[in-house]
Amino acid sequence: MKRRGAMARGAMKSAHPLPKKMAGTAALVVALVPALAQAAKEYNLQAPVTPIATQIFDLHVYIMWICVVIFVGVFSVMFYSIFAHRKSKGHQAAQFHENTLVEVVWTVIPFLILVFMAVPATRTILAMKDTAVPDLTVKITGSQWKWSYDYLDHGFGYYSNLKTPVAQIEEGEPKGEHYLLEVDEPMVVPAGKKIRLLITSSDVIHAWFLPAAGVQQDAIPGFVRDDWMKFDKTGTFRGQCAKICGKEHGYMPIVVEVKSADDYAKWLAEHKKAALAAADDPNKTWDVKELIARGEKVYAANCASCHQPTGKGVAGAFPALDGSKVVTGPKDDQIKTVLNGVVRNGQPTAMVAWKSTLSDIDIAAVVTYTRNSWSNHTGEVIQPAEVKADRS
Amino acid sequence: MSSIPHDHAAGHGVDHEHAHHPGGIMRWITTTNHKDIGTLYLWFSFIMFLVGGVMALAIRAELFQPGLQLVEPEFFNQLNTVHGLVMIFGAIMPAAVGFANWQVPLMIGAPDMAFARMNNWSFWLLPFAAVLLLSSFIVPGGAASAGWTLYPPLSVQTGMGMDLTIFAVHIMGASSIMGSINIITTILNMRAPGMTMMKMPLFVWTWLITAYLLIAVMPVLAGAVTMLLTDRHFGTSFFNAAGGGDPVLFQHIFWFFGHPEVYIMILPSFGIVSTIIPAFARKPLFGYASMVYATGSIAILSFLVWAHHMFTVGMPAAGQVFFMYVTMLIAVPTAVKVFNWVATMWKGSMTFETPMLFAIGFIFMFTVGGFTGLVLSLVPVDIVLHDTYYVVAHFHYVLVAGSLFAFFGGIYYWLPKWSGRMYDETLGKWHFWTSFVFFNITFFPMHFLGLAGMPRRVPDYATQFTDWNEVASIGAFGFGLSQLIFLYAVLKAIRSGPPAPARPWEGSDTLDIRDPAAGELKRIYLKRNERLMMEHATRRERPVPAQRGANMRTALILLSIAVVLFGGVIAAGYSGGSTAGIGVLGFAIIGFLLVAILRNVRR
Amino acid sequence: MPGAGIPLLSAEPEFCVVSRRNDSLGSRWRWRVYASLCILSLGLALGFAALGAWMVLPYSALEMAVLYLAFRWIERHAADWERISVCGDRVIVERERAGTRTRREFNRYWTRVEVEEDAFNHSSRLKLWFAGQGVSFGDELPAGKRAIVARDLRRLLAAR
Repeated sequence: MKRRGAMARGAMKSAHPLPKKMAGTAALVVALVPALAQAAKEYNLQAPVTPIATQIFDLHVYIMWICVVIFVGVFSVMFYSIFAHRKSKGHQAAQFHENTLVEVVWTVIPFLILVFMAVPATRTILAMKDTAVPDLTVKITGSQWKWSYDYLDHGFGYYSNLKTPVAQIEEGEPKGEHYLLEVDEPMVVPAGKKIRLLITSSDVIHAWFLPAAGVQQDAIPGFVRDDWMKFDKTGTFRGQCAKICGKEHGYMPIVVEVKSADDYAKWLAEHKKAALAAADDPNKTWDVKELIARGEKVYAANCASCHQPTGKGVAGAFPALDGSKVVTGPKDDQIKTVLNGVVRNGQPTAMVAWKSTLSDIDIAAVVTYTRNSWSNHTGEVIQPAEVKADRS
Repeated sequence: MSSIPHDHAAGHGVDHEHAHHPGGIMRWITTTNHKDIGTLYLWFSFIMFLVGGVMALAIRAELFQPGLQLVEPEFFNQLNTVHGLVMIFGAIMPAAVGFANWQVPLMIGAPDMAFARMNNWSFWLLPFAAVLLLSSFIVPGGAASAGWTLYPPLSVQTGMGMDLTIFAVHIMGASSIMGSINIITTILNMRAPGMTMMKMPLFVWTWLITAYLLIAVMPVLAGAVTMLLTDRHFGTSFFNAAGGGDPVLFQHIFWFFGHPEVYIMILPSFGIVSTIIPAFARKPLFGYASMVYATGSIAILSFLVWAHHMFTVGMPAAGQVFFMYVTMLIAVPTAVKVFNWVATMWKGSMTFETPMLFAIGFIFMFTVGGFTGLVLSLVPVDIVLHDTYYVVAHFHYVLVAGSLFAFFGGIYYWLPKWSGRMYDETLGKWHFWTSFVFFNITFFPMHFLGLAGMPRRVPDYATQFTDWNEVASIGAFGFGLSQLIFLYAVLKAIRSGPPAPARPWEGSDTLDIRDPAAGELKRIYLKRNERLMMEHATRRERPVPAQRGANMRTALILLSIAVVLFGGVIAAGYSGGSTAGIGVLGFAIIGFLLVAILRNVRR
Repeated sequence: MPGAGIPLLSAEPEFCVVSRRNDSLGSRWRWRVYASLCILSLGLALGFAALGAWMVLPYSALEMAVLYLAFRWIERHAADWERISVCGDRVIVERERAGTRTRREFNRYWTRVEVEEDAFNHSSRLKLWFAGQGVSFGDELPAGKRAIVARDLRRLLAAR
């Protein structure tokens, strides 16, 4: 029985066995077949790194064992019957049916078993819901198609974009170790602290899913949901968006770096400084090179998934920017398009408004970049002040 | 639809005869005969099964390796969405209606369905719906791509393919409603004398309950997709947070339809399996009454568990706990069913022709799906498995190895009666074993993928998921090809199969299998029927004993409890809002009415 | 009550078959089932309307209207019957549909019995022909029973 093997292997990996006897059995199997221990990872939930995930892991192993026992029991009876009570062996059919006692017994027993499953599950639910008294609160916002993390206690935040190069995804280049599960800026949290997550979305429903932490919470536009996690150890843990959210749904990774308290403090200080620096002087005049270099980054992070790195767009779905009338026409029109998005028949389109997501400098940079890339050679330079003027 | 010529050539093995009817297509279009319409339903659903299957294979081909090789992510999402819709509304549901059309009148001794012409309409709506749904691939922006669940706001964002999908869902819904009204009126009103409720074959019982569920929930689906439509085009904000709506409300409505829908797809299969097992065990079904009650309880519970599809939206702990408990409860009647089937086999005199193999395969794998369902019902575990491949594995175990396998079994079981010809047993066995093996190769590894954290509906995945995805893709192609054996076996049987004996399975004992159309007139129930119907009118009618009723009363009481509970749950889920007050009040009134009616019934 | 409302024949017939629907549910339970569906469907729709999703309501109402028409049709036709009897040299075909009664008499020696078999359509109809006029009988009977009636009738009519 395939299932049974899988469960046995699954149980071995359990670091926190709930039923002690089962751990014993599992340990025995590990001793017998040591080679399987390594492979076990593939057959069970990810190794838990938070107390909640540990509870979930143990609960799953516990339930699985119950299921395996019932499964083996029921199907031993069935397969024995298939083996013994066949016409080819000359077995005569009995004609019994309806037995109230038997029927009551096999209704009550499953019910009792369910009670044994429900009790630990309920306990875990209550623990999962306890978001009170956090040490740190991070607001997580999903948007098509990236996550952003706002450290509400420290007044800064940033976007976390997929880092895997397009060449690896589309052109068959050798995949890196963390293919699709790597970001430019991971979420960073301290170990051993209770982190409260406020999860929301700016467009469609996403889901913030970090399996090793036992957290999955839908990010719903217009609503803020909360959840929490507390890591036992440092390390880097990976997940991805779990709710279908459009074409780049598979390219919305979540990476959480858990640092020791000291390292986290260091990271926090650096980040605050960087955040201050990033709040650039709005009146500074930027030169073309600076703007194009910055614009290229902004473009790659925000625009390239639809309009493509080549600027050619996707025929029928996303317009090309290369040679586009908007991009080569009057610059104020393009700036307004980027700021306010494209609204057709009163409904927002895939070209969303960027005014709340990108700063004046970012928009100036990306507009300058698109007006001077590929076959577009307007030679125009857009300054942040112009964007600011168009915002009203 | 290309289905018409197909139906034609293959429907009855009378194609040579048919050559003498030049206007033959019109006869299929205008037929009001329940058997013809059943045949049309079954061929239609098989064609849609192949269409949806091809989409599934495209999906599996893309997922064979990490990276994007064959399709763009946007098109991948469209394939995923339409695969789901086609399989649910185009393949599984029409197939179940096809079985009902063929078998229900035969099994209860009715001359035809109650509304023969409406029966014709309800079928012929389907090809139009299918064309609408599939043509969405060629409109600008492509087909719907938000998953078959059509969650807003994503579904509000996409192009006109979504509108076509909404219309297609409306038409299919109308077809389902007409079909189920027909079935429910036929079963209730047109049973032969002596065919009391508790003598009806289980297949008829399961379909009675299915039709009841369909009538209850189809308007909910229609309302949900209409609200999507008006949100998309007419400026309403039912599900738009910016306009004061709530995207999660759609999920509540959708799953309020969606969960009974799950049982709509599985209950007829329970009925088929409960017909096949006793026939090949040569032994009566162990607990007929408890099977009926179990089916009824599953139907009632199906109205109370919808939010287990939404454990990650962030509902209060009380809501999660309630929905977890009720969901777990479903395991009880389901277990009762499995025990009953096993007890029916126990000490029988079994043979293992193809229908029996599919029925045993059904029990075995449906139980696997049932256990994974139990695992998923536990909120904490669901949190780490929700929207992962574990869920994909779970519902394919219950829908493919569950519903579909039972349907295959049903086809092999009844084909000799329907076509008068026997299928090739060797081909049937090949079909079963290849399907069984490849099915498990395809879907079992998906449990591991889900446990390891691979989300569903992604066109590309991290490298650690590669091995199992490769295995699953290979299995999927094997499973797809295995279905060609089925097509060949059926075509061969109806074209050139040897004539089937009047009673093809020696253990079978239901009314239909002794249908006089096949020449055998020794009938259990019909004998009584005959006396009543053909007696001389000058003789006094003997009074028919007024029994029936006790079961209906029980069903009504249970139903009223369900409705009142539902009200409570809605109130609990939304406690704090003024809507809760209205909800509680409304349900209190309904509860009061129900109690009043029931007291009346008792008298 | 089966048989109620069918008038007695004036003479003892040589042959008599009554074909009628078997109203297996009965009027009272029919409307109880309808009420239960109404309560469930409209109750759900009202519940959703209270939550702001009122668009379920029109569909639910429409569906219940269709279901009402279906049940009313069944109700009106529950007492339908058809009788074919042979008395002396007359063949009498009587029927009642939704409360309207019709009666046809044929000459026994000039009446032809025909079964229109339609293998393609899986159906058969029993028809009596007299002086170029046809009247069908027994659409409510199961196909096998129709065949028996046809056989017996044919034998009887050919006997003289």
